[in-house]
Amino acid sequence: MNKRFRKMAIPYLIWLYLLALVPTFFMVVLIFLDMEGLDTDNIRFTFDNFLQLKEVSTLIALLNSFKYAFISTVICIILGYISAYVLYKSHIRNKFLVLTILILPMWSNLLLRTQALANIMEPHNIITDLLGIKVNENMSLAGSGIAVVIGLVFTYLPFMILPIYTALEKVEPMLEEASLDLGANEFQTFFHVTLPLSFKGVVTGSVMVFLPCMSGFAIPEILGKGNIVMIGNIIEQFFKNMNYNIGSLLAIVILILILVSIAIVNKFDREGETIR
Amino acid sequence: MSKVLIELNQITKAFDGEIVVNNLNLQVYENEFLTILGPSGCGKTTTLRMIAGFVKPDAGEVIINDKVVNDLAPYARPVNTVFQRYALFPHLNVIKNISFGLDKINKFTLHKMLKDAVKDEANRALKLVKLENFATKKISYLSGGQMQRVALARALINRPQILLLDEPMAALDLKLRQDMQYELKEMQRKLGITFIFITHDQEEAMTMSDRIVVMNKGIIQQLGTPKDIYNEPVNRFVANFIGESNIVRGIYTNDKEVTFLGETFACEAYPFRIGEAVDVVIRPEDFDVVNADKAKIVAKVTSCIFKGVHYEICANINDLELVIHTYEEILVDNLIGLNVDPYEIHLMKVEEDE
Repeated sequence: MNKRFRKMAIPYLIWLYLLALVPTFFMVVLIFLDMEGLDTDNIRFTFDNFLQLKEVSTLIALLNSFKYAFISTVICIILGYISAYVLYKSHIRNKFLVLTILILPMWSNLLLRTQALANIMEPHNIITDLLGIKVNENMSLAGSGIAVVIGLVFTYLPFMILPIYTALEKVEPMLEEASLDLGANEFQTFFHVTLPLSFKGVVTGSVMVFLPCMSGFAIPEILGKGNIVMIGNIIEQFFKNMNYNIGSLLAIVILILILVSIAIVNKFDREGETIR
Repeated sequence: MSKVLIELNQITKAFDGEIVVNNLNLQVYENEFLTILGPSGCGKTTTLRMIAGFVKPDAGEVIINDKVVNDLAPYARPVNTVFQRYALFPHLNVIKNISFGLDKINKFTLHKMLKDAVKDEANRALKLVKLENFATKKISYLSGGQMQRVALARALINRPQILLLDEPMAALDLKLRQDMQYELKEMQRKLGITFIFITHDQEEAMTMSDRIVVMNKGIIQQLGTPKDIYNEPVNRFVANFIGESNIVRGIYTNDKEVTFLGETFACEAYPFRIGEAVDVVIRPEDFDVVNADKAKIVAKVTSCIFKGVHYEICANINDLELVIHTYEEILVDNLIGLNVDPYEIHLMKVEEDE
């Protein structure tokens, strides 16, 4: 039975090897080479590429990535938990429909959505035009850090809501009743029963928000207007300029950072399960 | 009897327009083991939840200690509950589950109990339910019986005046259930707490209760001691729900005399009019089986099944089937005579709708 199902995974495995592992392997090789574009004529083995990691621009971009990803994740946790909790507690019959509406923006293209958001942030946008409002030119959000955070939260919030909602669904209502029965009020019940039991959803959601926030480049570029450079933008620049070697190096460094953070979260998560 | 602790005063509750509890009146006394017995959907759990505070009655009053508590939150009532599927906290271990109620008090009141005191109390509760060695075990490693004990200890730690038990033994196997029945009764006697126990199992109700409330369709059918309810059911529902019964239509032909199955029998005095139709209830074990020529009722045996302690015999008389319990095997198609002592004949008023 199990073996037969395992065969069904073969197309995926091929996909994975061909489009993820093989390119990653080539990227690791490229780190140690110096060449122009993918031209194999003047190929040279070198460690010089690693010097790029000491560059101030790289470090600032890396710091920016962490900073914005962290801020966005925290905001997503707060907004996501509140939305998921309100939905979980509500008496709406068709909660699935509400969830679908919540993830509806994800159905449209990320770039289009971000562009539209950028447009709204301009002093003269479609809304002010339609309403005929006169706006102060200096009030623009466009190109600011806040704009980037808004864009990141707007884009990745559904990834936080869904796992938290799923985790909340699994909390038996009877447990909350038991807590109330034992003398804990609603507030205490939430912090001692509901929150710890749905914490797994928060962890999953945080990973799912933090990682794309950190590695993405479209949102900071469009909403940050070049004022905010994240590591994704730098990698993109290197690849655009056909410097595949340094581009690969930075991409692999990000990959390692991400893997390490997932491992830490996983370890924390498993401990949280057993110790409590 | 002793002091009234809980009073349900004409409470009614409907869900989606369907009446679940209908104008119910009930008084529960101090130190009493009261069982609410009824089939599923009879409103017993809803009644319990109204006492616990999870459900608010649409009409009527829930009174605890002479105070109307309709609007009092569950955590403010002197009531604790053992839930049907235990509802233990999966993220806490056994001892933390048990001390949950005290931990809350510890953190949020002026009288700060020392942590050690909480620990002592939790350990005492653990001992009470005989789980001393399980303090740090995870809930998921416990068996059904152990979980039930944890749930019990957890509910008792706040020293409630009233303990509500919502079919706590439904998930246990028979042997464990019988042991637990005895233990629960012992515990109630020792602790002097009022137990309100919900079950659909009549044997459970019989063994443990001081008084039983038989409920059906949101209405109390009968309230009384286990003996009263078994020997003197007030209607067909109670007679059928509590044990097995033969119910035959008869006529109260004279004072202390009832006619059924074409014969006249002596019975005890009942306040019926002479000539009034009545339902005659005879328990299967109350028939005396004799030779066919020595009795007024003669029936033909249609089946005889060995049940362990006794044989269950089905016998036919005028196309009416009677169930009889005897200690002797009687072969199918034999004719048997059936005698009944006057005090074993119970008469009930005929209900209009049946």
